[in-house]
Amino acid sequence: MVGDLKNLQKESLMSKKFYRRDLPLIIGTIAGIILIIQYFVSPNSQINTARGELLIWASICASFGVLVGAVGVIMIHVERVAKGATEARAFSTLLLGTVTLFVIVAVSYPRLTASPQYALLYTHIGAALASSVRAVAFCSCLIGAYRAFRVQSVDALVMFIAGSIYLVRGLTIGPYLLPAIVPIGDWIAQVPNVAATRGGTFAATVGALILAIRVFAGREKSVEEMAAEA
Amino acid sequence: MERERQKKERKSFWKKLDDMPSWFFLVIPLVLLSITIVFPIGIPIGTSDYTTRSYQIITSMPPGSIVVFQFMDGATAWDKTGPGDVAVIKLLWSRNLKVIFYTITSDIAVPVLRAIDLSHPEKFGKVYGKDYVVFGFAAGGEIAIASFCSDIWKTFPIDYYGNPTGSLDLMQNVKSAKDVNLLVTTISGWPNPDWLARQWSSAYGTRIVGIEDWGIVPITLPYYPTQIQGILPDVEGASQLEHLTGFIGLGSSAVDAKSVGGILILLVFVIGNIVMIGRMYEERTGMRRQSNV
Repeated sequence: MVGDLKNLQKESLMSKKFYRRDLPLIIGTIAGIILIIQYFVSPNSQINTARGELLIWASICASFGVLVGAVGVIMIHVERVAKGATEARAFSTLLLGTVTLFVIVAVSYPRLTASPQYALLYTHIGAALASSVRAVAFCSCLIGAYRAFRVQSVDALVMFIAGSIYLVRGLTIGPYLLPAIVPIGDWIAQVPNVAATRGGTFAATVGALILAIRVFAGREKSVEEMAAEA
Repeated sequence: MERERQKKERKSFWKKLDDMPSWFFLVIPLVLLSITIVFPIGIPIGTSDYTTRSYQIITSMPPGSIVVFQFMDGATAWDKTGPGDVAVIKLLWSRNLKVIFYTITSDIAVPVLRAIDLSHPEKFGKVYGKDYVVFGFAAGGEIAIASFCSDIWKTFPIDYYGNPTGSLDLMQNVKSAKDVNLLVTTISGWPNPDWLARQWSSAYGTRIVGIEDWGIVPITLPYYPTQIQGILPDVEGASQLEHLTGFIGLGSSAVDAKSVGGILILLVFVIGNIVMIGRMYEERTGMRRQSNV
């Protein structure tokens, strides 16, 4: 009996491992290989049709991802309202109330989120809050610039000079008062900046390629860790 | 003795400056920016190469060309890129170009409609479905772009208002990125330029004009002007385009405030560092005095 139970548990673990690690890996590898091969074959080949279908499915999966994210956020905050501390409860109630309000307004009108009522609500709550956050961030930026951005090393000095030149170049008043700032600012942006950014992009691309090969070959540890966590 | 102690405890000038209360940094920009918005300085607006190039690319499109307007930034970026969006849409209307709008960020669908409203399509005689179409949000970031480029009809079987894509006049001859002549897109940060280069420029050879914050320009420049042919930077770019097209709008009204804000940041940098040097000097002289005693 005990042996049977152990066998059953082992089988269950095996199937868990299969659908949590192996199956996503197989799907990902096949999809990845198709997406790579399509670069090397004729645009009219069947591989290209398969690529198109894969992309549509990926987009559908991503939409479900958004839905899962939204449901997850709601569940966390419902739990917090039920069990959380007073302050957390207040914030979570506010969040859930806002979500409910937006959903009710969206479904109450025939044009859904395209209705003027929804647009009004969004513009006067969402967009207004977004602008306010940006305005507060500007003030925090000033406080940070005053208290933290102290030139105490050569690196900080270089950053300060380059940043100041680029900042003044970007303002309308900068080129008006100091016309010479334009070629200097553009040179900083187009020569040292481009060289460093291209180097960084190249390194990141090579890294991504190595990671992709490791995932395709089933050698990437993080995939196993992810499956174990799941 | 008491007076001596109080004198010692009294803060020095540099210490007072160093301990400037935080509310000061909230009040000063509020006052200065409000004054600038109410009474604009009227700084003459020149035209940068970036804006001129973007303008030339758009105006070189023959009437009837298909333009995709892609939104990659969130609603928080409206203050920076919104004026540019409106200025470009007005230019597109005036050149009789056909425009397809879509977004890959979930919170920008309503601001897209706002940008279209502010550009007054009715004044240019534009009809929905024939001259422009609005699709909603496609999830997945780069995947969404790849999917849209590969098959617009399958990515968006219906438009934002629920009309089947096949029923829209404009979409009859537009199936994929192969049928698109120009991409105008907002760029919100890394890796947006990489996505554009991979999915639009390299794959379909589409010409691209990017509307973006000045802070994002450095990460776009590695692709400029080969893969991304035009850049419209911040409200400055918007105001410059407004002056080139003659459609004065949001950009021109915000440009003075932006200049004042930038100068304020620079001043704060400089004053902060002068205070640091002052305090260092004060501490050194204080230590020297103590050692002499």
